Amino acid sequence: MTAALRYEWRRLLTLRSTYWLIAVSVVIAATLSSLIAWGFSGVEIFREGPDFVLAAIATQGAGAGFAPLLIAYVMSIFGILTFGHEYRHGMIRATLTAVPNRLAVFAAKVVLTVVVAGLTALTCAGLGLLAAKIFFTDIPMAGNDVTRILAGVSLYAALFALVGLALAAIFRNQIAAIVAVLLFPLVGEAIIRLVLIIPDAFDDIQGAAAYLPFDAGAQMFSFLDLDQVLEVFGFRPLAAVEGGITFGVFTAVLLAIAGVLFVRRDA
Amino acid sequence: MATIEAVGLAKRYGSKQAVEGLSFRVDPGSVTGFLGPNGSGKSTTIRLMLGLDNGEGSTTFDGQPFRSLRDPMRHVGALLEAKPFHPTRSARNHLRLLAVSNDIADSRCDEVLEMVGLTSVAKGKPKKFSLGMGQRLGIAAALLGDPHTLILDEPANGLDPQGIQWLRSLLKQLAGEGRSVFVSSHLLAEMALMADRLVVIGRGRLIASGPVEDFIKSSRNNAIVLRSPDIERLGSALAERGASVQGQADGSFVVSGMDRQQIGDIAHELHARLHELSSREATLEEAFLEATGMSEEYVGHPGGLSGPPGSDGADNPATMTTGQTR
Repeated sequence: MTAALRYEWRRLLTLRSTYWLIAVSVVIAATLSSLIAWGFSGVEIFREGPDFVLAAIATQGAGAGFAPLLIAYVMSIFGILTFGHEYRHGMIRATLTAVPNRLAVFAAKVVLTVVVAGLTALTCAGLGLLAAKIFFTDIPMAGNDVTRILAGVSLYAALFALVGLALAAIFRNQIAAIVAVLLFPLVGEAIIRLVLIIPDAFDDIQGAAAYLPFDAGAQMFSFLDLDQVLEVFGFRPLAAVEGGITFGVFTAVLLAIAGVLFVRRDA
Repeated sequence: MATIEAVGLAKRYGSKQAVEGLSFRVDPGSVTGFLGPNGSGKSTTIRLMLGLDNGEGSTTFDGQPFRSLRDPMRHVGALLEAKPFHPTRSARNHLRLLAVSNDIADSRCDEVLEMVGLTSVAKGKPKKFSLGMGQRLGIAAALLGDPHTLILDEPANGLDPQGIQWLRSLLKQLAGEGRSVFVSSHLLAEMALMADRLVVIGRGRLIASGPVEDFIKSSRNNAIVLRSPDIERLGSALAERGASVQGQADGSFVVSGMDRQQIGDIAHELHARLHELSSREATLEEAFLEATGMSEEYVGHPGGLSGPPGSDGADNPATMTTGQTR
């Protein structure tokens, strides 16, 4: 396992994409959070300090349902490239002749993807909170809210990156994996949720809409989700912990499929 | 020192049996050539040996399967295909990446880059490399762990004549140091100069395995060339005693199934005059084509090619070879 970890770590350090994906995340977080904090600071009602305001600033709008969590999508690309590069450039055979233990190779990729994506997202959320403090000086900052934002964003981005990793390992094609991680959360889940909550049409399975994995996972850092307007149709999003568990189980299933295929398939 | 022992290798892709019941042995101190027509299963066999493809059978390196080797690059160096590297990771970093997983010092990366002549482009991006440079980097990767066994799939691909000569010297030197070198190639003339032993396959099955000389000696193209003004009497006598006698366009006769001494004795008995009695040894290419003639996976046909004016192609040797059917 240590050989696989050493290999994977140096693999990441010797790729330009590792650096620019982290840099893009940090720049997105710092820039957008600063802009949002500066804009919100001039809005009187926000100065009274509803808790979603801090979350919206620190997550570049995602914590209030204004936008998807952009840095999580960037980290999903990072996860995708972890296996995508192996197959696109024929590196997988070089990798497996250097480290023939496939389970160790897979596990090392999972561990380091979690570490890099999680720490990057933690940094981004931290920069978001810093931007709130700098540009919205009197914003209320409750310790519980700060903890939930930092933990929720880090965990969500790490799981999202693992979904990308798993899809790239399953498809063995990074373009297909990129299309999947963009289309399903942004378009697929929205359409499925709308169909499920049509009144009187799918009453028996309407509750399933809350378990759509990416949306459920986002509840970890959501303080006011615009989806909640759908409550008039009977839709109730999951709580943060339930949502996190749902997204975690979904990710674990994808990883299990990817892992089994990686071990059994020809390289 | 490592002996490679492959036993019962088999691999099926859907309905196609790519490799079937393939067993052979590669001994230390020799270059063993791995020959077979296109699509005969050479690369699949090498992937099976290294556990990259899942199939039947087993391959051991001094009794151990590849997957159970600790720091495998220190035992077995492999070149699998051209350009298996990330296009923007420098040549040196590519080697450092492989080295770190097998506890190989970074300084060894510089040594092997020097060995393959790529020191000047150590920081270069492989996307700018020619096929030959890519092959040299792949060979450097195979040599990284100073392994006792080398498995190289078509290492001469893309190398220029000087590069091929360098590769030949390198592999012979490595074998001379007691290592096992297993190398596939379709360059038969090169293999004749380089290999001590051969493993020949066709359609995934073993056709021959053993020393190169034995393989060539087994060819029917080994024959005695005979010229005699008394060929009618002599030819009849040779045929009666079991030899095969075939006339050639240049007036000579090729005799097989009998050695020179026997032919000389019979000519003496008949008082037949001999103007020539010499041996013609088959080339590796002739022996290979003869051995694999019925095992080609992909056979070319003349198609739209037309012969020179006035030629119907029937007596064109090239046309007869490429038009061979199974």
